[in-house]
Amino acid sequence: MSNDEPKGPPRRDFLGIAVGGSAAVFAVAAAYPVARFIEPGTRPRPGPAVVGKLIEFPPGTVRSVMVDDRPALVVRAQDGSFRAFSAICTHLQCVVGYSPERNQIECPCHRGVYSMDGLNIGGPPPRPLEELQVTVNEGTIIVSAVG
Amino acid sequence: MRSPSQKLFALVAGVFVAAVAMSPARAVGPEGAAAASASIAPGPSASASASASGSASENPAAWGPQGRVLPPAMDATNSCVACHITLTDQKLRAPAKEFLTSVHSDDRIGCAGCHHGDPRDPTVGAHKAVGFDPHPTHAEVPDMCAACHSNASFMRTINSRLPIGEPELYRLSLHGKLTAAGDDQAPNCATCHGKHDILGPSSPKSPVNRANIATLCSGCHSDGKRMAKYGLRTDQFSRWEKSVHGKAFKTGNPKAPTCIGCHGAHAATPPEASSVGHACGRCHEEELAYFEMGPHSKGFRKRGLAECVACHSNHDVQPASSLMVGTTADATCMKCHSKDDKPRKIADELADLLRGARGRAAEARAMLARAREDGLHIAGAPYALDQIATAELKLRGVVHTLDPARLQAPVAAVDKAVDEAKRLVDDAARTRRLERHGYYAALGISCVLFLSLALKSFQLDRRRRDRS
Amino acid sequence: MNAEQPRKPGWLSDRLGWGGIAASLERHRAPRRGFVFYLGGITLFLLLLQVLSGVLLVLYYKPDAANAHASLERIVGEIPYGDLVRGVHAWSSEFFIAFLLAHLFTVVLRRSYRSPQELSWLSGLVALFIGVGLAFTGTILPWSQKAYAQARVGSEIAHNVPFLGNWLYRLLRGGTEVTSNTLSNAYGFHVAVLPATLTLIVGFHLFFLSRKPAAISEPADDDDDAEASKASSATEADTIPLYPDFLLRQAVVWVGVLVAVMTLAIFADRPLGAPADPRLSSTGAMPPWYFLPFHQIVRSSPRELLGIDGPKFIVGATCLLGLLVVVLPFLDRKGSKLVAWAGWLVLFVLILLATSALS
Repeated sequence: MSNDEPKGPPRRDFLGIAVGGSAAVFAVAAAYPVARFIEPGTRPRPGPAVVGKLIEFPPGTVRSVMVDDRPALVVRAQDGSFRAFSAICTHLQCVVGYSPERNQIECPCHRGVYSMDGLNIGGPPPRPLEELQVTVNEGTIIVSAVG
Repeated sequence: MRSPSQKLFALVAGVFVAAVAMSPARAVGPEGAAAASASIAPGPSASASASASGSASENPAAWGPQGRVLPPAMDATNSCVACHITLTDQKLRAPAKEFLTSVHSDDRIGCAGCHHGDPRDPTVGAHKAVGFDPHPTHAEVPDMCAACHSNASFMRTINSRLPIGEPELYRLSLHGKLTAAGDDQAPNCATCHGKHDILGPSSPKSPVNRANIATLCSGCHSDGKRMAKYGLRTDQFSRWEKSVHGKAFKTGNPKAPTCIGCHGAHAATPPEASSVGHACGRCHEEELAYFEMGPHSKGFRKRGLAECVACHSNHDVQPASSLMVGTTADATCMKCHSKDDKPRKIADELADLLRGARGRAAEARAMLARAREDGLHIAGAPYALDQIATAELKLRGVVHTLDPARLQAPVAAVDKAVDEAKRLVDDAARTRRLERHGYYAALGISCVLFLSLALKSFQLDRRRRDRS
Repeated sequence: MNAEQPRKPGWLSDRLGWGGIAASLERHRAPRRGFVFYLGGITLFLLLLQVLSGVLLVLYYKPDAANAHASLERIVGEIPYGDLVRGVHAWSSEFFIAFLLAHLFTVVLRRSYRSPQELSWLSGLVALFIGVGLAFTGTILPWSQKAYAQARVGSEIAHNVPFLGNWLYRLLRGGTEVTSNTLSNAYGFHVAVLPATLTLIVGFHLFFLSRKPAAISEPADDDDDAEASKASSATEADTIPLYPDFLLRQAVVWVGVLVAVMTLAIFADRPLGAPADPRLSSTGAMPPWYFLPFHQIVRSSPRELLGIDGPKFIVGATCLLGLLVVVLPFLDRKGSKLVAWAGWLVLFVLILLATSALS
């Protein structure tokens, strides 16, 4: 640590480097598990979600549900057919909502507008809403991500 | 499926009631006979149709509340009980005592509801009233109960949730037919439910409570002397006890069938060989559906073989095993097909598919269990086990088609679930190995740090000492 | 003192004014020999280790009865290196209490509490009290069968503390029964109230130490004043500079302790135990090792002592003894040898009780 020592600088330097080096390696080794612990990676997705019974969805219903831990909109058209969309805006991930007055899906954050087919028809959204798959099994409505 | 059979039952019931009513063998008292013949006055065919619509018992009958015009205040005191409860003769006192603890201890029913007489008269004069019947005969009892229990409008005034019409179902049963034919050994309502001390089936003391019902049935059906007359076996109860159903019942499984699960309660009748599948199919729906797709369904019917029972037996049904399929000596297939070439070939094929898939599933399960014991936590393990179990369940159902081609898909589903489970275990094991190596490396690095710090400390010390 | 010239300041040293700090640290002297002088430092290091691992555990732990055990199972089983983090936290807590007690006993045996160290002594005792509180709340958090049993028994023992008992009891239970509230109370104290207070107390402890450095040598017999003053004034040869010499040695010991803690965390299994089910008969009523002497007394005491309930008497007596320990520096200003003997005796009795509790 001092420069005025005439003898043995190589050994002293070596020890200094050894201490500094091993301390640095140690710090990295300690930081690695901490970093891994903090970011635990991806858990298996919950998968398809039962969102309700057919009887709860008369034609013309739009309902917000949770699928895969994320919000989604289930739309039952007047002809009885089902469609479901991820309720996450393709612009900046706000949650979109159904507007019954204008019969369209709107994002309140930056005035994004989607048609009831999920198409981006106004505002900043760059893509249509992601479409989800709807299965009706013995009166139970199941929504799952496509693919 | 249910309503046509109900209609059929009702029709049979009507015809039967009419036949019984006209039967001279019916042993009833003079008043009872008079009332019965009065009720069928319009003729047998009219009675049958009336019974079919469920209104026969609403006619003024021998027993029941219809004829009661007693002032409520008088009813409330129930002078029969008030007097009988004070008697010292146990034979006369016990009915009153028992009645007070029963479900029928209701002033709208009272003693006179069944025995008639006039409870308004607090003296023995009550016994002299018209219709008083202290000792209804064995065959009379069902009519007595039916007076209320087949009377929908009356039952509604007591408790609108109570089921209605069990006496009609009973009359359809073999028990009911025998009783009506004058067989005192066949059970009537009181044999199972008790007489004065009748409790609701939800009471654990009730003999017809779910917990007691198998014992109740076996009370007669395991009695060799009693059954000899009917040529019935007496081992059903002991076989059921050892069956998968009986064992499940013992462990408290609420879905495990007791006697009435397959035979029905009031309408207890042995299922016909050709229709036993429907009894089993009430719970084992999927197996029945697949069975009916297979070749045995028609073949069994043609030969009069009992569908499910032919392979699985009835009262002593054992857990199904993949060993039942195949050409080994104790395989069930060999009971009939030991010399048939084509069925043998199919049996072998089925056995290979089934045992292969189930073996692989068992292996994967054991692998997950081992991994857990080794402290490997696998986040997806419960899901993977679920997947395997679901795929196996499907496979176990599809086997009943006896069609190797149909088995391919469920076997593939099992294999897919098994592969997924194996992949999870492998991943977890690899991660664990990596972590272990990381731990050794970290300990090594710590030791190097320890040593270099210690050396540095020594060096510092020595330099200071040198200087001083 | 030191013949070395100040070295050329580096970029960072220049901006931090490190030269000045180093010079002032170098003026502080520390004893050259004696492992006892490292016990306090090790305790401090273990505290640091617990804070670091504890902060990580907070990220995944869920403090309610329904999820607590499952969240720990997830930490141990699913989160990468979660078992390591939990192991380090748990083992360093055991080490923490052990070194805290060792520190306390060596201070008693060396009679280092004597004037003018009263404030160091008092702050140290408060730190011990908080440390035990941390350990107790920490055993509740897994919400296992054992945790539930210890929450019941621990709070009931606190119930017997004179004057404060009822208040402590309800505080520990978060009500009058051991419920989910007990768990959230324990959590709040374990992660916020107690660590914050402990940090403050440890700060005071170090501050007092820097004002009035601990005596390096033991006091001689009371009757030999001259020798006592001679012995207590440390010579230059007996001491080394606090920085870098003493701190470097301290670092060596710290790394050694870390290796021990890590080795245990990796290779010694600490099963979580079954989740708490209050309907099941209590298992794991055996307390942690540092309560074993107390456990043995509670277990073998008569139902009644001097007309007072057994547990009430024992807890009361323990509190009285505790009070005596608190005022020790004021009772014994010069550091009587008697206290050292009493200290050895107490240590012996405690070890005897603990071993008999285990058998």
